[in-house]
Amino acid sequence: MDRAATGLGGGAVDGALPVQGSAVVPAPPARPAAPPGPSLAERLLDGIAEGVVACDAHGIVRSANTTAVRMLPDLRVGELSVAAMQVLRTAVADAPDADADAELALDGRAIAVRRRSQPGGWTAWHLRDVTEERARLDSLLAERARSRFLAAASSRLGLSLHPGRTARAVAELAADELADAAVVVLPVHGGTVDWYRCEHDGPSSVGRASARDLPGPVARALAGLDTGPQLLLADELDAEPWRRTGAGVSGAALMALPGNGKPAGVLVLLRSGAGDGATAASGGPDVELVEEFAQRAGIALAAASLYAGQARTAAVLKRSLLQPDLPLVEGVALGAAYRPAEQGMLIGGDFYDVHPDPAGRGATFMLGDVCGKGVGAAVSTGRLRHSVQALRRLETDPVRLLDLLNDTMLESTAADDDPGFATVVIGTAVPLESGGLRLRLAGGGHPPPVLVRTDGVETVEIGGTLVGAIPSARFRSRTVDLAPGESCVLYTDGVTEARGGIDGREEYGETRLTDLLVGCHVMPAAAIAERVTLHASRWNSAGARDDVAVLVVQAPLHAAPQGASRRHLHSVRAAESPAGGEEGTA
Amino acid sequence: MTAPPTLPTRLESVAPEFFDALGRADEWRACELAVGLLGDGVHPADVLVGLVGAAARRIGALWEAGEWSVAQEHAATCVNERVVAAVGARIPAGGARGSVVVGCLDGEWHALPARIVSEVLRANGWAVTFLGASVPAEHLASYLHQYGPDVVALSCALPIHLPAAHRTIVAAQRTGTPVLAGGPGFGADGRWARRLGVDAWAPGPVEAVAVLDQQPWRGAAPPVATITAASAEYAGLTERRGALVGAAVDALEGFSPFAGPPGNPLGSDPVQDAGQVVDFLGAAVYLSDDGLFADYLHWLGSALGARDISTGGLHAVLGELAAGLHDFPFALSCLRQGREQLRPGFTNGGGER
Ligand code: B12
Repeated sequence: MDRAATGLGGGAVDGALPVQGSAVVPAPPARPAAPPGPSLAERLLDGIAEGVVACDAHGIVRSANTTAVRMLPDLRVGELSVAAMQVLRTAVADAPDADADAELALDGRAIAVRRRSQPGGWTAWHLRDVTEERARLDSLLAERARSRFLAAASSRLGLSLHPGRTARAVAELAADELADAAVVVLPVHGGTVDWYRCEHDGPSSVGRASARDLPGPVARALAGLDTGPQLLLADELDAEPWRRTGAGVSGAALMALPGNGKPAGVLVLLRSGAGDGATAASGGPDVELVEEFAQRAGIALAAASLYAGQARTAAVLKRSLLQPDLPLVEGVALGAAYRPAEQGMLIGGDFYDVHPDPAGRGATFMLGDVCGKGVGAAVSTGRLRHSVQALRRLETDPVRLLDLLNDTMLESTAADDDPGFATVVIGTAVPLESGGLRLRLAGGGHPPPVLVRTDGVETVEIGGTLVGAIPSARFRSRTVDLAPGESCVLYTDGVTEARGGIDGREEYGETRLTDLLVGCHVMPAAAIAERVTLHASRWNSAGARDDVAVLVVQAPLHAAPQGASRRHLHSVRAAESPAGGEEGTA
Repeated sequence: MTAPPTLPTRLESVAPEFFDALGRADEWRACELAVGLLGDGVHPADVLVGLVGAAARRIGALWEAGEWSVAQEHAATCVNERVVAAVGARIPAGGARGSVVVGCLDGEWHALPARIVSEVLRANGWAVTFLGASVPAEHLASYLHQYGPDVVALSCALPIHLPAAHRTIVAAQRTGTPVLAGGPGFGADGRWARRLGVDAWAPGPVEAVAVLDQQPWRGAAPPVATITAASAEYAGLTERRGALVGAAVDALEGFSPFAGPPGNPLGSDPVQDAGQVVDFLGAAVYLSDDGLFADYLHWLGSALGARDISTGGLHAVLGELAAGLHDFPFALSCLRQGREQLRPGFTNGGGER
């Protein structure tokens, strides 16, 4: 049914708005006679909240309801109404002919514009005021952005347990979302504070300041006296690290970061005076958001400082239990490797030690294994090593040294019922005139040392019973000479008892070890120690690890040139010791 | 410090004697020469990369070509490490730029490259802690929590360690520490490093200094590994590892596939040697990159060839693996290509090391 001829318009215009559905607008039986007045359809359209405009093929406005005219007061039915229509056409400019949707701002209101082409080249425009709708959506989005920020902050802040790293993450997050620059100040420690500053989209810096130089509000917040948000005045911002960057920092807000009982730090948010600060903060920080963020930051900082405290305690304990760096001994080349089962702590029941002879003739060395693993074993190990260090001053003969050690360990065992027995090899190394080395080796129930000779390898059976187990223990010693380049390899059962192979249960064994060492006489002591550890742990690849310690005592192949200092060569740090450059001897 | 135009010539003129000293395991002479260059005004980075690093590669080539025994190679490498230390001892303590922890991946024993990287970073003002060879992921994580460095730098020499690398990278990133990766094990252009979601990659220590200064991770969304829950095939392969190695060893009747001249075999233990083949295959499956396995076989072929070792044993191993992995399409295609590649007369373009 073609209704194109059905007039809807008032008498002023002939022609009609084509209507496609008749349900809404019942077609009048005939063209209404004068007087021209609003048609039924027009009256109906006038009653709705949506603005409706109809234009014919020439662009002349043929119909416009009250809502449309209220939105676009320049609209005149029967005219081109260029000014008013231009507003609409610009809004949908991207799509000149086809159906289009757009949104436009009119007198501070958000108007959704919909254009639909109609038969006969006509165009219908629908205008809907969506200001409230948009506001609701915007706040929903803002809320989402807030929760996204807070969620991102939580997951990032949950990562590190290091106070400095955590503080920096807090500053970075705050600078990116809440301010033009942010500073985190950690609690006072020994009269100073550590601070972390970060610029919006910019670099970060760290530093330390005297607690006395802190602006009053920062000091009070750190002390837990003021916990709520506060303002810092511009003249309080004149020192590091709050110094303004670039054009005028207008001021700053600060906020204590709540910790366990006392603040875990203070967050200072710096804002630039310029209105186009491009950050969320330029509209003024959203106090609620800052407070929520501060909560999370405080929890993370408090956890990190708790962990750091515990780690410090553990580190102090550990220092006395760690394996020593090898000393420099004239005429004796040494190499060692150590892999504790408890990797996180780097301590275990295997140990080695080398003590240079005070008279400058060689050294006493030992390697052993206290029963047990982990912290408990490490403590027994530390005690044993200290005993030997003390006893060595009384006795240098390896067998009598073992006797004394056996007695000492039995006494302390009786005292605190710690079953700390051990297997040990103790030896002395004395350089020979010929350039070689004379070793005396005594054993207490330990796997036999392996000699790496120029023409092959041999094991040195020295037997002996466990040390610290029975009062009547018996120890023996053997004397062997090493030619230049030859080595004596001491190892713990973590090497030979490493489990691997096809089923993961086969032991590495002495045969594999001796095979591995064939031909190694050209290798420096450290390389031999490394080779043994490497192969044992490769064998062990699948299974649980045991402690592994290897000590190599070697007759040097290349004598040091006369008068040369070995110092500069010896800063190859043990695998686990920090190479922070403390050893910068030159 | 002036960089004299004769600098490359200084290095070049010292290099032969330096290499000679390494060959004799004469650490005194080697250190003297390297330290002497510093005295002449050559930058530590040039000594470490241009002299020590270059010598290390040459050592590798001689070993691969069967001209040097394992023991010779170890001895020379050990002296090389001493040289790095001696050079390092002359670098003043850094720290102004920030702190880096350097370490090797779990199972990675190539410590020398990481040591070189450590000292070059130190020479450029970074405070560096070197954790050594084969650092387990959990150890690294606890260290990072405790000391909170700005960056952790991981070195990988062999792609066989990439599955472990992934674990380590994730563990480090979970502590909030960005990861810088380097070393040939991450692929010539670092492509595997990126697949494993590192924060940055650099081809060498000097380039690493520039990367660290840019802090590319700052403000960026954390990178995501494109490998998630690696293919089911990798899980299956790991489960079957024992059985696969067992079958290969049975087929070899106690001989190593890499056994060769008595003084200088490529390998000697059938279990470990077959295990290496399986693990390289595993890494290729983990990254779904058959090129990784092809590169390995290419290297293996030339190392075996240099020692006149037949590839028969290797063929037997590949055959057993194919039989044991008949339901693993990707692994199978790697193996099929591999056997093709080992045929005499086959030339392939890639795989250059
Ligand atoms: C020394 C050495 C060893 C020593 C290492 C001892 C030590 N303390 O380091 C030992 C004996 C342990 C060893 C063992 C093995 N090795 Co090896 N080894 C080498 C050798 C000769 C030198 C390595 C080196 O120091 N290179 C010099 C450095 C400076 O070069 P680079 O690694 O490329 O590093 C530079 C850059 O890549 C970068 N970089 C490196 N790390 C990082 C990290 C960061 C963060 C950044 C930014 C940059 C960066 O900067 C470095 C300086 O410029 C190489 C030969 C070679 N071409 O490298 C073989 C080599 C790497 N080894 C090889 C092999 C096969 C092995 C073994 C599997 C042998 C075996 N069958 O047992 C075992 C595996 C052990 C293990 N699981 O890790 C092969 C690898 C072949 C391959 N296709 O993958 C090589 C290439 C030898 C060869 N030519 O065949 N090896």
